[in-house]
Amino acid sequence: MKDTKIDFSIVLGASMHDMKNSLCMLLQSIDLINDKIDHDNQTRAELAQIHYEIARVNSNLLQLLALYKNNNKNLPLNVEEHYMDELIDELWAKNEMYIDNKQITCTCEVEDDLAWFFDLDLVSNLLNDILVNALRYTHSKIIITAKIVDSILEIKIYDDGDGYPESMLKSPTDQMNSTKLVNSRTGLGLYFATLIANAHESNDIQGSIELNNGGLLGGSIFTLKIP
Amino acid sequence: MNNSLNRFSEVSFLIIDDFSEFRLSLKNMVESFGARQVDTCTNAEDGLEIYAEHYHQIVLVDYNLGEGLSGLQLLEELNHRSLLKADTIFILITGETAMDLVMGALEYRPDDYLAKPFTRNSLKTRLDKLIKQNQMLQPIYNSLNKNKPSQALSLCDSLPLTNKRASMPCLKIKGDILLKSGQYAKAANIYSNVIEQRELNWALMGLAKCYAGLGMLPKVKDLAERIICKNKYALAAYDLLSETYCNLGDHEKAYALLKSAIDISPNSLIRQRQLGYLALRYLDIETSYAAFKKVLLLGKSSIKILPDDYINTLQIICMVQFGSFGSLSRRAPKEYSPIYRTIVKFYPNDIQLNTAVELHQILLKYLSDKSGTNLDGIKKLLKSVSNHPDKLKPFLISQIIFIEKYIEDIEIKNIIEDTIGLEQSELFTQENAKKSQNYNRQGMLKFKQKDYLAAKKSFKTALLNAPSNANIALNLLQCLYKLALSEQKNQVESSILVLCAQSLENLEPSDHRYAHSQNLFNHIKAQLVTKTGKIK
Repeated sequence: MKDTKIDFSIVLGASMHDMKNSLCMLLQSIDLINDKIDHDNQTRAELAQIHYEIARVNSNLLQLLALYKNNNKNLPLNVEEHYMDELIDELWAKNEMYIDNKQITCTCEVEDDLAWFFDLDLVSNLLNDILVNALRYTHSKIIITAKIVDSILEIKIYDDGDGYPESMLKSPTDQMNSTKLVNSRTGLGLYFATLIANAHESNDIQGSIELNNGGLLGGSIFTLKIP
Repeated sequence: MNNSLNRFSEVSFLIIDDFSEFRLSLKNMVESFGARQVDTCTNAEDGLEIYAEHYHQIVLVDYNLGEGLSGLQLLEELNHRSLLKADTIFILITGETAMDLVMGALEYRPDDYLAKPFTRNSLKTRLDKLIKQNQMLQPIYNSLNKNKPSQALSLCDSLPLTNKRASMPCLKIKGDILLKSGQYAKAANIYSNVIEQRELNWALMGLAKCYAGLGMLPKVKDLAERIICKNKYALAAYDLLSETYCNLGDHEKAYALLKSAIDISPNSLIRQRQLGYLALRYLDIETSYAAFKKVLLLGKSSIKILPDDYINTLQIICMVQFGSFGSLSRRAPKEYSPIYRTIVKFYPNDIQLNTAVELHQILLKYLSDKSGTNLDGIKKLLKSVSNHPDKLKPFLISQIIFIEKYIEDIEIKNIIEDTIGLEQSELFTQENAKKSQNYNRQGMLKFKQKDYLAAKKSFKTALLNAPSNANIALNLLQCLYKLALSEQKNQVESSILVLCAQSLENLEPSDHRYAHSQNLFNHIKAQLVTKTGKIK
């Protein structure tokens, strides 16, 4: 056989396209089934779980691609002005089935007409990944807040779960190593979040993320800062 | 939300996707929102036709449509054919892979794009948001659809006073209107204000176009380079930058830049054409050959193709055939006849085009056998050209000059000189970018001082030294308009109008300069008619 080099980005791109189509069809089938079945709690719960897992597979795919692009110094940002309430509405809509099923109370505190400049796709994927995780670990409530502090947009996601483990609070998220990925489910997600946050830059200030426990609901607090 | 079902029942949808299950599932989704008018089709070509008939309010298109045009190219075609209504919501659905190209599209930005996979709920949230935004801007769209730009401009000022969310979209529309009417200084002001808030790519691009219109080429260069540095997929910035390099006389840089733009996206007819021309300049025949073949291929489903493209391609194949390019040269003779057939099919009544083809065919015969009969045939045909009642079109002149390059014959040279004539050969003066830029600056200065006669003289010299520079042609045209308005209408010579028209001929309808130049031509015509009473 000839020694031919394959362009990995093309392979990745093509298989990604295919997987996305499949996920799309899966999601839509579930939506349809969900409409047609009667109120049987267990089936609904199972469907919500499938829905949830698909969302996770999808966000993993998105992260892989973004990381791959970043490795190749090829992650273009498309910054536009976006309104926070619209962004958060969309986050709820993406996870509605799971939220309804688990009966989690989700609220948001955002000023009217609060707008900021960022890449909608990347930031919405980042927040969705954090939200999906919070939905899993929270007991009953999630609050999202957004406000401007010293010309920096601060988005916080609070839950009333047990909070982040001590080891995660301590270690910096921007250094990825394989042990960390093996040991924690969220390693990749947080690394991705740091990457996206850092990519947003204005007046020589970089975006960042923070992990804390306590706050409004006594669980974990995720903070995203975008200058 | 009150009567959200009603909201969708009034909205017409067009769904275009080559993947049947997906098409159906999308249709089911929007119907479940209450939509009652939903058309579907499988490819962009059908989509064009169906849209032109019904003007749907929301168009949902997959980026990837298999063979033929992509979803993004459909958007381009709709714009080129001036079919797309201002208030149509155009949504592109993409897998992750195409997203970069979509986002790099600064010229034709879809109103929104949806990344697969999405749920019914997220689609509905997105559509709700878009419809709401559309309703907010509806008064502006109405004025634009009725071709009342000044009304739209004042709405852009008043709407944000009552609705803060309208501010950014209104600034964008305002900049666009000003740009299209050639009010570059005003438009630049708007874009600069946006950039002061945040360095958004569309504002940088708008500002760069303003500077291009104002003749401030080094600034255009800086801005375009900055955009590309921020987003290497911003293809419009590549195009503007390479045009600027050309206008500055740095064709080598323009050529290198276009090559990298083509690497990112090979499916733009205009870019391939430009590459073909530049490659020819550097006698990179193989690149030029590949580029023009691609132009013809893309032209099959686009109205962007020009007769000139066919003649250029024929010439390049001829250069390949009689050059030494190995198997490429051997295969070349087989490529003429499909092109001849296409020309006959699409331009059966273009006499000049058919003459150019005849000239090409007989030149080929002569080059193969060098016979006196064929040489006489060429002479005879060339002589008949001078009897054409209309001005010779650029592609015919180009074909005649092509012959001159291949045949060393004093008699042919003489005939050609007689045929093309002095006025037209003026168009082929030596290009001199620096000289042209200097005269353009002088002209702009005189224009500002309202010395339109002096300005006209400077712009004309500038244009003769850079015949393909659309910005200078537009300046000259603006100057002629001022003269037509004044007592000096006799200074608006038709030969200069023709000169402008030829430089502006290749502008695409989507180019902001296109509408502006059309308006100026019409105004000048109207002025000349009212003053003299009979100029046609």
